[in-house]
Amino acid sequence: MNPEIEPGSETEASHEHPNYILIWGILVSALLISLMMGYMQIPIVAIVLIFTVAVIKAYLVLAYFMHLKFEPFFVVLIMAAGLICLYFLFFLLVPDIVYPPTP
Amino acid sequence: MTTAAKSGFREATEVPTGRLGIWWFLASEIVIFGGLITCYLLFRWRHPEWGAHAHHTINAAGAFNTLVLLTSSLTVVLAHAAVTRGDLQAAVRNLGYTLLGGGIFLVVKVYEYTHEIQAGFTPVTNLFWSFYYGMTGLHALHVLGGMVAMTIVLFAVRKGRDAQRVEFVGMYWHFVDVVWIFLFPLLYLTS
Repeated sequence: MNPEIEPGSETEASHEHPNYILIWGILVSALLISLMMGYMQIPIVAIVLIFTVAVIKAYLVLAYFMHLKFEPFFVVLIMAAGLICLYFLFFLLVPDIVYPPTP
Repeated sequence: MTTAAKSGFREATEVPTGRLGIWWFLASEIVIFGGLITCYLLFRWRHPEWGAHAHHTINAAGAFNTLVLLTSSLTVVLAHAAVTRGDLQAAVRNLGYTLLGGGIFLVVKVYEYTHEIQAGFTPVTNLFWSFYYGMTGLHALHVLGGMVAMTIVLFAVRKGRDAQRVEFVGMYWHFVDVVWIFLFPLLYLTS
């Protein structure tokens, strides 16, 4: 059950593995912080902070667990392409929300 | 055929073909979940009263499931690290833990759905609950699909085959985790 990893093969690591336990610890701490913010009395501040923490958590998973940080830049662009589509979707639909049709 | 091509690398991109394929697949998944989340955000902007509906979702269950998915992400990346060391026994063990995490997540989801439906909140109650069941249901299907793929990979790796697929199935699993990282505050915390 201990086959040799062929150099240059898909199973060979192209970089050092980060400290995954430490990253998991940060993610769990961030989850606890989000939960505490849910009880804040100022809703708009709570919402901004909760989503800031969510973005940080997503970055940690993408960068270190999925190794996006160690991929060539064009791979980041592949992922960004989806987000750019969503950006246009959001702002093209905003007028329908801000200026709803009058009956 | 060059050594790089034989071992699954694209010489032009320096990224293994399988991994590049998974990145493209995940980019398409961003649009699927992102489209739903974007529409939910716009409707939520239009209907501030949805906060009262979100108050009925079970925060503790959502938080527990977040912890379960974060931990299963850890175990699947440890499985990948084990493959790069050539320790396939550890990889199989960590894939097993990840499957257990996926199973726990789905059991909690079933509990939540049962609780909500018994309280009278069904997918046709109003648009908030349609989004709730639509987004969490699609996510749960992705968890289930990931578990099926992971089981296939686990049995292959046990026989010493296709170890590179541990990374691919792991990337998909992490993505499912990232989606939940956003669904949790959207549907539970911001009530």
